[in-house]
Amino acid sequence: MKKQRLNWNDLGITTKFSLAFSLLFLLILLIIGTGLIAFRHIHRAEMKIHNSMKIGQLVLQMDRGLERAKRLHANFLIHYPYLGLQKAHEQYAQPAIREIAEVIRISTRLKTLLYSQTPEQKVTISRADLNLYLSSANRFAATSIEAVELITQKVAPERGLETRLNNVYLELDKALGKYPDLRAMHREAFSYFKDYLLSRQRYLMQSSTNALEEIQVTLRHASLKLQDAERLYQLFIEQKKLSNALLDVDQELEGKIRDFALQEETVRPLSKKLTEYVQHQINSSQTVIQQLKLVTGVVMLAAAVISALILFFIAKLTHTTITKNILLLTNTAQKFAMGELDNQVQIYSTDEIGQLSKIFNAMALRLKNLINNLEQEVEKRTAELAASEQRFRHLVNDLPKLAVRGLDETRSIVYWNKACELFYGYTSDEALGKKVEELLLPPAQRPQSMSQFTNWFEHGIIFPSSEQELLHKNGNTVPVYSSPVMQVNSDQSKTIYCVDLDLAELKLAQESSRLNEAFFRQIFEHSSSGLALCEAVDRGRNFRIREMNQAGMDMNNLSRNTLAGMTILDLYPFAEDIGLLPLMRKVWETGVPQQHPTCHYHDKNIDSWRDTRVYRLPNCEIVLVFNDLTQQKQAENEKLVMEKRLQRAQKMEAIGLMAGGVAHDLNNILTSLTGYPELILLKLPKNSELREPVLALKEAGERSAAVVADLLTIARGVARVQEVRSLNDLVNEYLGSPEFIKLKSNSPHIRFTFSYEDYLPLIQCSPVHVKKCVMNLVSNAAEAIEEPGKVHISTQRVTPGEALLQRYGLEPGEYAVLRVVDTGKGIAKQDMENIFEPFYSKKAMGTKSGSGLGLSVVWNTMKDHQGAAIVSNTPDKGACFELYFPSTDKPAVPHPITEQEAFSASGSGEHILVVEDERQPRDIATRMLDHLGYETTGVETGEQALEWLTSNTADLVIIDMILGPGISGEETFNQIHNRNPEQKAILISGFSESSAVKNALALGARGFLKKPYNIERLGKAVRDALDS
Amino acid sequence: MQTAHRTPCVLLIFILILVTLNGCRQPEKEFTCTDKLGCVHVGPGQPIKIGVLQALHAKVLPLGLAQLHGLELALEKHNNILLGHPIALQVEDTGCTAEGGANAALKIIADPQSVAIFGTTCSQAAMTASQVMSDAGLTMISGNNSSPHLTSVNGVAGQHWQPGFFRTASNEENAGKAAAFFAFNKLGVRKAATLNDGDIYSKGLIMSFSNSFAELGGEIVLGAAIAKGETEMQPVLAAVSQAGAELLFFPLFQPEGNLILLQAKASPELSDLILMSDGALIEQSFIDTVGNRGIGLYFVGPRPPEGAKTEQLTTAYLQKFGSLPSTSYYITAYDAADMLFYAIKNISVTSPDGSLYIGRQALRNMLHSIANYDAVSGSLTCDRYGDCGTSVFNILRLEDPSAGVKGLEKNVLYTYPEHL
Repeated sequence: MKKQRLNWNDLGITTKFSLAFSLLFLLILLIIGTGLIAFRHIHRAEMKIHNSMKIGQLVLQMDRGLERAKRLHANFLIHYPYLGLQKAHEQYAQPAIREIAEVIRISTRLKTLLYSQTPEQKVTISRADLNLYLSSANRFAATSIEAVELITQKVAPERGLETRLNNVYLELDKALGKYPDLRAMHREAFSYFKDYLLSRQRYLMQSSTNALEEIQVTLRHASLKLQDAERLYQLFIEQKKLSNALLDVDQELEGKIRDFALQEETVRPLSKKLTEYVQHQINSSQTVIQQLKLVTGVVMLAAAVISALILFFIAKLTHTTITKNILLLTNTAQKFAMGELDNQVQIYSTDEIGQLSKIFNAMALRLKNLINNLEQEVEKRTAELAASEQRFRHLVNDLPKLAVRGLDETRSIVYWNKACELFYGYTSDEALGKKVEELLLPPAQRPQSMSQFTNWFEHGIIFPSSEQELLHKNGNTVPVYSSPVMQVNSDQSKTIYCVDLDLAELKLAQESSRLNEAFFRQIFEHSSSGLALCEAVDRGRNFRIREMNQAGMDMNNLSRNTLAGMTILDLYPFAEDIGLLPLMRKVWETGVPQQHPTCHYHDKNIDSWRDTRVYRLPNCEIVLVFNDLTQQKQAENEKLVMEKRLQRAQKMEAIGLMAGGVAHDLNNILTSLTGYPELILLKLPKNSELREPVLALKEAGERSAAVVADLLTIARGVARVQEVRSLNDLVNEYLGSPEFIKLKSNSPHIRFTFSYEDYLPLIQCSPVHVKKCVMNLVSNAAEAIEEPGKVHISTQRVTPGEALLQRYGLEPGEYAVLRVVDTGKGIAKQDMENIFEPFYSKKAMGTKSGSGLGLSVVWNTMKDHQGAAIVSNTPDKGACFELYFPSTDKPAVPHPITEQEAFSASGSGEHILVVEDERQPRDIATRMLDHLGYETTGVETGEQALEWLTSNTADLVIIDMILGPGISGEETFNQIHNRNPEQKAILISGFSESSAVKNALALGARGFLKKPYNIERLGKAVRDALDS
Repeated sequence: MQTAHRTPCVLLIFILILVTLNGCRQPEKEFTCTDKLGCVHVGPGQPIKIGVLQALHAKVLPLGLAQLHGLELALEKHNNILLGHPIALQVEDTGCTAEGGANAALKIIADPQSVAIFGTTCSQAAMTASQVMSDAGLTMISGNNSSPHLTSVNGVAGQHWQPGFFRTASNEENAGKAAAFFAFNKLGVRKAATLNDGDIYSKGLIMSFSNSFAELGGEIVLGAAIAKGETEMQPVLAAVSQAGAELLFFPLFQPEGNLILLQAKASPELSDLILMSDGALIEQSFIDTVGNRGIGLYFVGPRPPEGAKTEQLTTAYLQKFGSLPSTSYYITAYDAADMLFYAIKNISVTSPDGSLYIGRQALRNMLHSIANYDAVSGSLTCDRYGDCGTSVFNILRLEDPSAGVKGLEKNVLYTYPEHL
């Protein structure tokens, strides 16, 4: 295989440039490397200088700090005797320690710096000396504080050795007052002590102690009182102990002071050594930097020279092999561009430029051939273009709906197509050459249009397309939409072509549309139904209300201002919950109109019944048509309530009528049923076995009588409102009644509680019936409680609200309310409506109550009082009955509460005529009266009575109000009264007080007795009448 | 082919840039302390140093020990480690004197690494020690100092208030009021004498008592003083008798308090004198010393904390130290130490190397800002003068010395303020 020699000309340009730039890069690396090494060494030298300077600075700071601390400490030692310990402490000792703490902090930093030096920078001082120097501050601090403590021991106020010793001397002086010689000796000892305090010479203290020793020796020979001796010896011992302690402290203090001097001597040379070390380090580093600067300079210069030579070589090589060939190729290309198509490039190398030259030569050859073909093609295309232009001209000319007219720079018409003839009535012959303003422009429009044409032709200011009204040949205006376009002709002249579109039909259509819109707008605005036009937002999650008619805004309490930007959810926050929004979405998606069912919508702004229809417009907008049915619904509800109330009233009335009808007969029967047993009981011995069944018979009769009485109460109008009373008093009267006492004793598991309104309004009422209501409610409440529970009876002053007044048909005003609340099982919802109906009892038959009329009595009584009975369940599941009595402004009738007077119903032979059509009641009445000591005569009819009275006299006539065939009881009384107005009479009846009874009473009857009666009531009524 | 040529060049340039950038690298930036009182730098692995100043000798030793034990329990809660650093204590004895307090504080401030001081036992020592530590920029917290002068009196700075001083013990200002209200309203006393030992604790308490007693309409017939260490109390007791005082209020420490009681009981002419002392003598060693002669003595002292946390701490105390605490002040000591550690933890800045920077002013600010701190002695909130504890005081009466401190603390006759 023949080995090919590597020729420079055969290499690619990339390789040539790569080699050249690699060489350059190597040079750059050389320079950077030199710089980096130099920088590194300089940096290290600088760091060394920096560290050394820092060390020097710290050593200086340490020395100065230590010096300041020493000075402060020395000041403390000097000043404490006259400044006082505490002040000297504050002024000198404490600042000294703070200063030394700072020095310790500096020494820690210095230590870190010194021990972090590189091996070549290692400190030349031994580690032991270094540690000694660094710990000097700590040692000074310790010694200084110990010295302060020693001084404290000496001179602390009260507890200091000197004070205590001084006190001992003074006490001794006092104790030796009786012995002048000894006292003189003591004073000498004291003066030695004082001298010691000044000079701190130990011998002085010793002399003082010696003098005291002498006193002690003398004392041993003297005859002292035992107490004095003991005290003195104690003081001598104390003096010795304290003086020894003081000497020790002073000695220790001296040691500390010497220690300070020693520390200073040790530290000073070390500090000097460190300073010298620092200076040495700085000098050596500076030398290194100087040397480095020189070496780096030389290296950089050499690198620069070499770089220049290499650059020259690269430039020469690049020119010869690359640039020169490129220039040759460029020249040939220029000639080719000038049209010398036969030129070819000379090829010298096989690199990319050689390849490019080859390609250029081939390309030039192909281009030459191509140009020759192109000229023939141009001729062919020009002919085709001319044909195409002709076609276009025909097209424009024949356009039926677009009028095209051309104007030259003098605004003369140079082009006029067929549509122009139709639009404006001029033929092309008539139009061509005419000025446009003369032909088409209305006079008012001319100045503006002419200036627009001039501006465009002369200044290039384009005027836009616009609607215009031009003139027809016949003088009419022609509405057109005119679009101008300018064409520059080959001779540089300019022509403006106006393309006009006829707007006559469009205008007609617009007018029609406007009229339609106004029509529908009127319907929209004046519709009595609410109309809202909405558009979907948020992909149909919500709908923005675009428009709403006045009726709609009135229904929703809106105004035009508030409507802006409002959405359905803003208007109806619960639209999702009531199903309106889903329905709107459905209509929006499907386009099928929907009816939203009538519903009651309620939020903080709207409370009404609504009926809504939803449909979609072709533009996908949603229309809501809604009606407010609130009034209609209210009317329906009111009607329902009224109907219910009417039904109940009718029911009650029917029952009342029925009760009234049978009451008389029943009462007559019951009179026998209660009367005969009573008469039998009067005759039966107390130990008779028959007594109990007869008594039961009597009680059964009485209970039946109570039922009949209730039935009569149900008959409307029975509970006549007569007296003005306080509801509180009536409740109290019931609570004191035997019925309530019995109820309480039978219900030990129930707690009865009461609360009364203090300022309860008075009521006009039938007290008997009101008390009966109270009794019925309390009894019912007690019976409802099976387990231990509570019945709460309360009264309250209430002014009912509108809703309550309407619901229960009450008159506005103040009411006294009785409330009975129990903790029983409450009342089932389904029973609430019927609970006041007669015989609607949930209690099992045969239980303790059982008539089924209790609540009916309550209801009827409240109706008779124009009040209301309201029942509800309490939150803790019990029942709550409320009786609303209308208040009255009339004053209360005094109602004296009197003790039951001892009453004697016995007669003393007075003659009594009994008029009674029924045999048994008549028999019972006469028997009872006989038993009471009256003489009696019984007759069956009113006529018999009148006849009997014509021939006899009676002290009293008892007349049954309902008599059989013949005259009535009322008539009988009237006739008797007419004959003898002084005739005393009382009336009896199975009914309650009727109008007939009232008339008779008004006429002079002495009383009314309701059947059935017992012997006591009969006796009392007779006695009252006779005594009146 | 071109890519193959380009890759080495790009790599070379990249390496060159890296080398250059490395040369330009700045050394890691150090933490800069901006605290106006400076920072303590605790190096990696180095301990956080806390100075402890307590009275650790003579009769007040139990009080000082209770404080130390409270601190140790708080340390145990943290396993003696805070933010990865052990806690080192430098314990110094103040001797319960002003000079002792000042000198002991000097030893603490001499070490620039000291972060804070836990102490003192006696208010007299706190008076000087707090001044020394405050000037050195430290923070000090006490579970025992109660003199009003150290913090605030009537809502203004006390005579010896120093910035950086905090306490969880109660301010005794209310103690004086409690004693005065009880004496005047409950005991019917109209003439009272007072006795102080020159200590700011006892002087502060007597000032509060005297002012309140006078405001109520009572008369201070004698305001006497004794020196600390004094043993002969008969002269001052004779003066009390001569002044016609019905009650003697002597808020003193042991042993002076013991001597006043014992010598008063030994004087027949003082048999009707009512004696009332304070919390410094609510201490088992006092009861043991005076025995039955202490029966009838009244005390005014802070209401001891109660509840599950207190019981838990008492159990821990018993387990660790083998016997029940002789005073309840270890609870406030525990709270003081716990609150201090909490504050240090919150303001410390930890460097990447594990070292800590603790700002001295930041520590003070942190403690001042503490509010509703859930402590054993209750919910603590520090005011601007460093009072963090509650100020509710009980009046107690010693009935049965055998029942000890617990029995005494249960015999509460009156609590001030009355609504608590």
